[in-house]
Amino acid sequence: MHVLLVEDDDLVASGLEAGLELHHCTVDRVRSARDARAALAQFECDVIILDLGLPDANGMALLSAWRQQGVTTPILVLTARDAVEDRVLGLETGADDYVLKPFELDELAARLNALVRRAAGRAVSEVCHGELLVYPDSGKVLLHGVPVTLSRRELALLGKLINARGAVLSEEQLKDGLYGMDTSVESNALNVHIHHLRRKLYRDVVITERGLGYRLGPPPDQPGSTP
Amino acid sequence: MSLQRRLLWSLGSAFLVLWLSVAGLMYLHLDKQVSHTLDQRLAASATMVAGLIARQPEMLLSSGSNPLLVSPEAEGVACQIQAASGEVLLQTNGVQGQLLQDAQPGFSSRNIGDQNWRLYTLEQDGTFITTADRMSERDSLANGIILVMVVPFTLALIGGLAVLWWGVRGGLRPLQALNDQLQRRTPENLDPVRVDTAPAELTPVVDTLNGLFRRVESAVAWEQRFANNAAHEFRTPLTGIKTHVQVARRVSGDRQQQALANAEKGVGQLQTVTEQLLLLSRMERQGGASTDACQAVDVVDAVLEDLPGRDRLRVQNHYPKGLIAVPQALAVVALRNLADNALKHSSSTCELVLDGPVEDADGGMMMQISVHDAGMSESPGSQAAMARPDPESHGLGLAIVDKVVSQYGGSLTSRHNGAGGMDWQLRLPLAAAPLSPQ
Repeated sequence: MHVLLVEDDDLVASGLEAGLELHHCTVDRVRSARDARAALAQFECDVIILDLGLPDANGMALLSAWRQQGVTTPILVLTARDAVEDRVLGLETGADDYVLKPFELDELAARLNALVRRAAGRAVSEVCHGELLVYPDSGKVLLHGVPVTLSRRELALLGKLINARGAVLSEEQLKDGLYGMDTSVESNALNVHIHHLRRKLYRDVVITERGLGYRLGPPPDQPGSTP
Repeated sequence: MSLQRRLLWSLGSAFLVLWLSVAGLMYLHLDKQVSHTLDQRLAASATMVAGLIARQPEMLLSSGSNPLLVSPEAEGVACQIQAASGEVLLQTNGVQGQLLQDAQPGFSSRNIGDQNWRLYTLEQDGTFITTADRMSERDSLANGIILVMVVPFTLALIGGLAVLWWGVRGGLRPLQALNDQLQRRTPENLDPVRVDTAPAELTPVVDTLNGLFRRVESAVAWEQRFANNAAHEFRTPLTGIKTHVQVARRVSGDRQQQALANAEKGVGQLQTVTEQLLLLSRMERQGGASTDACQAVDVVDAVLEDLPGRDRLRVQNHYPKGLIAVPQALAVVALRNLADNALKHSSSTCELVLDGPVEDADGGMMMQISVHDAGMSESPGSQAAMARPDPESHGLGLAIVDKVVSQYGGSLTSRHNGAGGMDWQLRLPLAAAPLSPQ
């Protein structure tokens, strides 16, 4: 899961980055509303964590502007304002969830997963793709009932393809989901991750659509069947 | 009892008593006048009869055929003419002549049969002419007069009371409207009171009340902002601590040490916020200003000593010898918060300038210190730059600066600058006559 974190406080941001990476998230952090606007224009993310107390603008105004511009990415508002009126205003302005500081990392991660899941149109957390079972919350993957260990990037790549529900994703979209603002990524890094996925799971888990991108392949064959 | 009822009750009672007293006095006077007039009529009748007899003495010789004194029989004035010998010469019908005998000259009253009479006897040339009225007729006349008088008086009384009620009600309508509005209000409602056509006496009350509502609303809004800011400033480091502690519990080695170090940094921030809040609390408790003073340059040095991001703060000192009439600890906290706020809201270099002495509106000499920041926007004056949060909502730090300047007679002003940031002017009173600038 690729998270855009809009938080001006370095201490809170570093804690969130470290904590969410433990929950298999890729986190890109910006400090101001201006940087947040630029980041969202630059790449796609699965969910946004938005702090309301930004130094250059009111977070609520940024939220409202995004929604007016048609941004549909799930947004979780993270704030110290605990009044019911503030929560109602936040949700009415376009927030998908409202979490009060301080919070439990597990709860925050669960809420983020729920937002991404709902945005992908899934009601339950686990994804069943034939004999391939993926638990995005815990990062656990089972193939024919056997656990498979995936790296954070590989898990993010698989999650991105699963959430696309068979739609073709371009290379840029997949890179956004995996690396975010990290521009020091080697050009073949995505191919390496796809290769690893195919090796660890099964060959057709990722289908290459030449000139277009990649999509989730058909479910795995039954064990023992001829490929 | 309401003011309207009290007014109606007192004015109505006074009006009623006055009106009835006047009516009673008028009745007594009228009754006396009517009796006097009827007595005059008796006397005039007797005089008229005496005149007739004097001109036509033969009337007494043929009294049986004289119609003048025969009627009226049942009502009106009765008359009897009696010789000095006691013989009744003429008498109207129905009058028991014998009972009119022995009447003394002048007015008298007598009961004849079952009726009371009022008599007047005139003596002329040895004859006694007596005229008489039935008292029942007089009473009937008096009752008629009362009736004639009571009806208009009653109508006037009712009308007067109605006009009084209408007048009092109309006059007190603005007061009643104010009363209704205040009774309907909830304690949370701080909207201004509106009384249409408020009289001059009520206008200051309404104005004062609305002024008070405005002040309370402003104070409540300030308290809410302050509470929000305090919550934000407390919860932010607390969140940092809690998050890093949770991370530290799940990792090991260098990452754990890093998480614990970050948590410790959060504890330091929380300690700073707590100390600032305690300082604010102490200042509010103490109320009065201390007489301590400090050098402006020492204040700046103390601010720079431990200010995070001080490498982005450029200091210009145009007046190093200024003595500020504020305790150094408070002056440092105020200026530090101002500089910290500027650095927090700026992505580039900020400026702290000791401008020097200026004269305030009251003629007092002030030390002016300016803090400039360029904001976070790359394009000055852009929409993003102008959307910067209102200075009033910047937090606990500025609340403390406000407290210091208000307690020591200084001032703090701010305005958006052309660079997309803000210019702050902190003025603190000078302790002594300003020295010549270097």
